[in-house]
Amino acid sequence: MGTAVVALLTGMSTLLVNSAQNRQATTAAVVVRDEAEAVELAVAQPGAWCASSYTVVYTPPVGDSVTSAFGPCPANNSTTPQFQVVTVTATAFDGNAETLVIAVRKP
Amino acid sequence: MSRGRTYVGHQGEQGSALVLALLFLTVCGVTIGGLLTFMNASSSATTALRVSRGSDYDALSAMQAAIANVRVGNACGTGTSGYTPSWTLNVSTRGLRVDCVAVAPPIYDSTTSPLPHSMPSNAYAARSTAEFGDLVSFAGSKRRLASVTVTLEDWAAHSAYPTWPAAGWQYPITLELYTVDRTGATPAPGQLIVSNTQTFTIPWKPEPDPTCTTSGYWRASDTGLCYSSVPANITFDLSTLNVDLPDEVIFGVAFNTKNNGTAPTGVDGPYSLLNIAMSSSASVGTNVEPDAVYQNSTFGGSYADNGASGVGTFRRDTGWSPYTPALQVVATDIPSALKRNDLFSVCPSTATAPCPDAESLLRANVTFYDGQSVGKSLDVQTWSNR
Repeated sequence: MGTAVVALLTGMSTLLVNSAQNRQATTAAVVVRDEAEAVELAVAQPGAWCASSYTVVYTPPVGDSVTSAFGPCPANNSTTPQFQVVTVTATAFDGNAETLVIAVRKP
Repeated sequence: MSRGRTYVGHQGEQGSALVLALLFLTVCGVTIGGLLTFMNASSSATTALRVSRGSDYDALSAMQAAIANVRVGNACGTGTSGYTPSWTLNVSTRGLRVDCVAVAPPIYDSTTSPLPHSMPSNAYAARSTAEFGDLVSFAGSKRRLASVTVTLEDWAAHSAYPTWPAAGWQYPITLELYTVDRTGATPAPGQLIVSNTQTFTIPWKPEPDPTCTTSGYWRASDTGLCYSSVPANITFDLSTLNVDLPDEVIFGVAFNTKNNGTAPTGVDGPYSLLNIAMSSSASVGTNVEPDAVYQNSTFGGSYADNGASGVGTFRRDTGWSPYTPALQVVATDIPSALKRNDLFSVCPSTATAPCPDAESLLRANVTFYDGQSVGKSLDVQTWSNR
């Protein structure tokens, strides 16, 4: 009986922990994709390409954070492909992180 | 006895409690087991979704980078000359390549889009025809032949030819393009520019509905109406031929039937019920002689002059207004792999409105090396200086 109760408690504990992790991972994945979409939108704004900073309009849910690390701006000439690689990282409040790499180009 | 009964009763209560406890634990165990299974499935689905989304972003990003490359003059073709991203992908185990192809609007188009349930058509077998076509003039200035689409009309249902594949029947069909010989009183086929045979899969006509008034007709579920046959487009990819078209051509579509064609089959088949679909006008380019077509028939009655000018040759025939074969011709000026100056060279930097020749599109298609495709395709219409 005791073993059964311990097994049940362990199962419930696993269930709760993993469900929470799954929820955080899912939330982080959504946040990172939302941020990526916002980045693409920001880059596409007139005159925004390779400005000193982009105006990314997105607010993650309370407790989550998100950052976008832009690769270097390409040399502004007629022979260098005008695109940047952006690494978007979302971190849930439990520390669960999700990363998405995207490439954005000059409109 | 009283103590004994009490003892027995007490033992029974303990047994019931044990049973209830075991039952409770069993229910809890099953429930938690079910939830764990569900959680596991949910986690797997989340992981799969993350991989899928990662691939989506990889595909989109690679296409954007490919376009950026093309815009500065780097080539992006197909296959080994396609574009491969240089950064680490979200799903690094799924390498990908971007194939770039030029997309251009047609220079001649008498097809109908979307295809209707049925179209007027001209029979080959029933009219002893080996080849059928028309004289058409092209719009615009693009003349590097890319593709030709022909609309056929299939009257054959699979039930009539059960030994052929149910998913559609395959058959070789030939497209021929001729220059226009205008030395005579009327135009005539001149030099053969293109003769290309490709095998196409022709869809069967839906099975006949016995409730239709006309025997053999099929009923469309959306309109509730009955139709004789079904149209299907076939496209000849001719981009590798490097053929530059004149401003007008006479085209012909040919295939073998039981008794006609370059090699009559001698037996009946679904090709006996395959026609060429006819339109009433061209939306792009010009049907030069609306009343005339060109055909090769061994049956004199197929011609307006009852064959007086000869049968069994590909020649002009009249009395066809307003019908012309449904045909679409696509051409481009791009010679090979796409480059900025080929694609986007025409729009001046001062232009504020869409450029008149804003017809060059870049279509980037993504292919994953594992053979899977996410169906990604991106069209961009732009100019080098915009």
